[in-house]
Amino acid sequence: MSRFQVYCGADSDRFEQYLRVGWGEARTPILTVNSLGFASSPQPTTNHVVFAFMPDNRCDIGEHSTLFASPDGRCTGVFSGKLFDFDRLLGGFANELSTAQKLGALLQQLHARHGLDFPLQLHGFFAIVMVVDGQLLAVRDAIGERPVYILQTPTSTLISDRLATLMSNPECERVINPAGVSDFLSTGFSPFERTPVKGISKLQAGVIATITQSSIHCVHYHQLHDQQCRVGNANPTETHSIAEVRAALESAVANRLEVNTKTGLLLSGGLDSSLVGAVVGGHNLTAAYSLNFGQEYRNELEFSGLMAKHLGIPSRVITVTSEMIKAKFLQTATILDEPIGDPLTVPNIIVVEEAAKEVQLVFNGEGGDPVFGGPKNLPIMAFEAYNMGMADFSREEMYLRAYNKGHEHLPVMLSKAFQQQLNQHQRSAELLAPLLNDTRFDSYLHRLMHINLRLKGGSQILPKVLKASAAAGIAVRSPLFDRQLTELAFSLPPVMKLKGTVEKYILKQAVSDIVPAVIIDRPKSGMLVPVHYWFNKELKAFAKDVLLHRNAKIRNLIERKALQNLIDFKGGGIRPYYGDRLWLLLSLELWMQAHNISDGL
Amino acid sequence: MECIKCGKESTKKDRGVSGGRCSACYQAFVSEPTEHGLTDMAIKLAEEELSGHGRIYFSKDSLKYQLQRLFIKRIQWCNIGMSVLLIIAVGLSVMAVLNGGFFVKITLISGALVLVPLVIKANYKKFISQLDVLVDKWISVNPHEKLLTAEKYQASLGGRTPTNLDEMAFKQVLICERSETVALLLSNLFHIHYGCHVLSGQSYPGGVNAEILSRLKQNPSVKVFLLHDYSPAGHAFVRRIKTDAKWFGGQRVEMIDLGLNAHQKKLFNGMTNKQLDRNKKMKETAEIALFSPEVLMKKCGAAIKEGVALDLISTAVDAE
Repeated sequence: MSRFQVYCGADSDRFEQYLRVGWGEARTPILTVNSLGFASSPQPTTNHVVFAFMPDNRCDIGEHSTLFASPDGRCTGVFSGKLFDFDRLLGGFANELSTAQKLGALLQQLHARHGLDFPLQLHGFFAIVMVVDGQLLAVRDAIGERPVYILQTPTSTLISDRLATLMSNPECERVINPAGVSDFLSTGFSPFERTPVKGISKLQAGVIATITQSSIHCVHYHQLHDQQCRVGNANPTETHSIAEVRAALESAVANRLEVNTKTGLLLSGGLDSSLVGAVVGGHNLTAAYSLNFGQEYRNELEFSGLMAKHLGIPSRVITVTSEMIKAKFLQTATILDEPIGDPLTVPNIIVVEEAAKEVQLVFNGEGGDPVFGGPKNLPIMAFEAYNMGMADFSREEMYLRAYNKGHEHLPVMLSKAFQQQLNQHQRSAELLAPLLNDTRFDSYLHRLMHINLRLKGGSQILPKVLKASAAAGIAVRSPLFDRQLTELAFSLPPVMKLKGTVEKYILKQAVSDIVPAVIIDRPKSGMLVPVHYWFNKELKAFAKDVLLHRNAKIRNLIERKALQNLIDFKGGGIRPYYGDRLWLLLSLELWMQAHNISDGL
Repeated sequence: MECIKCGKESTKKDRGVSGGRCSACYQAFVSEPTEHGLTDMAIKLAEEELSGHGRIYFSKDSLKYQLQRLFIKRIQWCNIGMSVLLIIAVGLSVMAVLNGGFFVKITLISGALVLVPLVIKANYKKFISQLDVLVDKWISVNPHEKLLTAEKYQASLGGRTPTNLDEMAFKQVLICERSETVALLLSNLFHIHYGCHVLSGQSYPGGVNAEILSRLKQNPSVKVFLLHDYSPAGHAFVRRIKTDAKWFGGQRVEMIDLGLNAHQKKLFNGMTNKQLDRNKKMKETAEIALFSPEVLMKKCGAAIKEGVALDLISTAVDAE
């Protein structure tokens, strides 16, 4: 994963000086654009835009990440990621131009032709920040495989693909954004544009932002629709759809494979990672890597072993213990750079580090549920079945509760001071409402899939796998989050995703000849990290030491009594999720420690 | 007795003078310790425990049984006290037979003391028999925000046929004998927490019952769990669901009777209702409402997860 920083402001010298200290002058290519005037600002000022780019040969395998400038200098910027049809797109430009010049010319041409919709013409995963015709634009790819964060201060704007990069900039106050932290405590990640850090926002997937000195104007250039917008055959037969999905899967994998690269598979033993392995093919894979939490806890090794054998590749099993979790938690908070309260984060990092010892690229099965309607939608659909009219259960509240992270516990968990601060911000549920009532989707299942894809996919799953693999020094590919595959999945009738009681129906049919039936037919269990048991035994003291420490960063945000009850496994109600909630709070505390973020109270 | 609103203490005389109200804040008192064996604060604390400090919906019956549990605990202490006194009395009587004199007097006193817990027990039993009236009065004077009333049942229904379910079929259902149980489970989001639909044998909830049932029947491997009182009506309910074609009669589906039945006595020990039937035979019944909503949810959730009756659940209740 490349790392880029873009500065826009009057004091570019200071920024370049900061870069030299932080990144090291010798390794950091820098491109400067002078005199960017913001015509729309009340007092037009002349700003400098500085693009800085840190290549990483290990993580950038197969990518086209670079600084670029069109030959006439009117389109300059930084590109991070990969375009699947790169050679075709650049084929029409003069041979004497460098790749960076061709890329600049291409983006300039596309922008001139399609305006702010130009990223629709690009197929791949990418983040782009560029100045074109005097406008500063930031683009995130359609599905959100590459993150883009923006820090706005009174005098400058900074853009990067790493939140940590912006947090470490002297212009960042390093204070929490209460609403962002509340979002995190409800869902386990930051689903919306706002982040947990004051002044820093992020681009949602499929968004292009026009950035001025005082504002960020976002446009969704990529939109998903129901099947009525399907191009061509409006009522596809099941057989036809199965073939289409299979072809799209194969294309998604082919676009992500790299030649002469040792490739591994992160294999849970569930349907999604198994089918990705099957489409990649055993001949392209060096080994499969699977997790286990010890003999005493449930695992899926029977199925991951079966699939590895089916693919004809060695199965490497990595056993993650509570001691390893304890040792790795703080480092994980640093690596992930925004807090993620999913108990799989630390195990994911451990397994990727193991994989990095023998491969350069890993494939995973992330995305099967958001794209094809996995079982996580079922509780929300169950709620919908009853049309319950009780005032305290709005659809939005129910959706937030369904993350099982403790949304319903916030009123007793958050300190009074923190709750007062929150009153000045839009609530998470308010931001969810337009998505749950999105009339582009007739099918409620499609609305849920869309939210899952846009919020959880783009803000939790994809950034998590990207940052974890980057820290281990390898590249990662998530082919089920492919744009074409996603568009196809949404264009098919809902019954092809949830047919009777069968979830991801069409996906299962599309791979039924290459994945063993026992894996296709078994109910999804998910990779369950035994946090409930760990925090009741060996990690109890760790949780207590960190969360109840007198200098804990969250001491003013969370009620001490609520913390004590949680640690003692008391008063949690019907489904207390003690382990998950402790993990969530530890993630927040250690993230604040790792990045030296204060509570602002 | 302490006022639940302002905390001011008052004597029975004070309450008499102020017309059964708190002299400081005019909050009406509901119970009288000498008549009901409970203070208002004890009832309030019982409600708080039942509602998980304002997070769990409960019914009037849940509150009644919660208070009954208080008395049963006290009765158990009486039994323990009585047993201890009895042992002492027997020991002393042996000593009296062997040694006479001083031990005879002590034996007589201890024998008389054995009667004290018996009297107290009788009082508690009287208080239990008055609980229905006391709870009715309490909820009319102090309606709790999580008390599930008939109006709230109706509000929870929605009343429309679901339109957002596409061609989804359902995997499992918990059919309860009583609509009140269904309202309680739905209000506490049992269906969301445990991924199991909930219907009542009385076709509740009205607006969606038929639709949900039809989607359940579309699934040949549907799992049906039954929950009912330990009573003749409960047994009739089980028979009806199994044999009536409107339900699952004539269909080969997996059906698991969670209870309550005679084998689960340890779950409701001491809380059964005993009445003489027409033939003067003692009939014992137990209502499903004797479980607090939290315990009922957890027990049913674990039973559904493991596919077993309520009395077979072990540690799963406490696990995530």
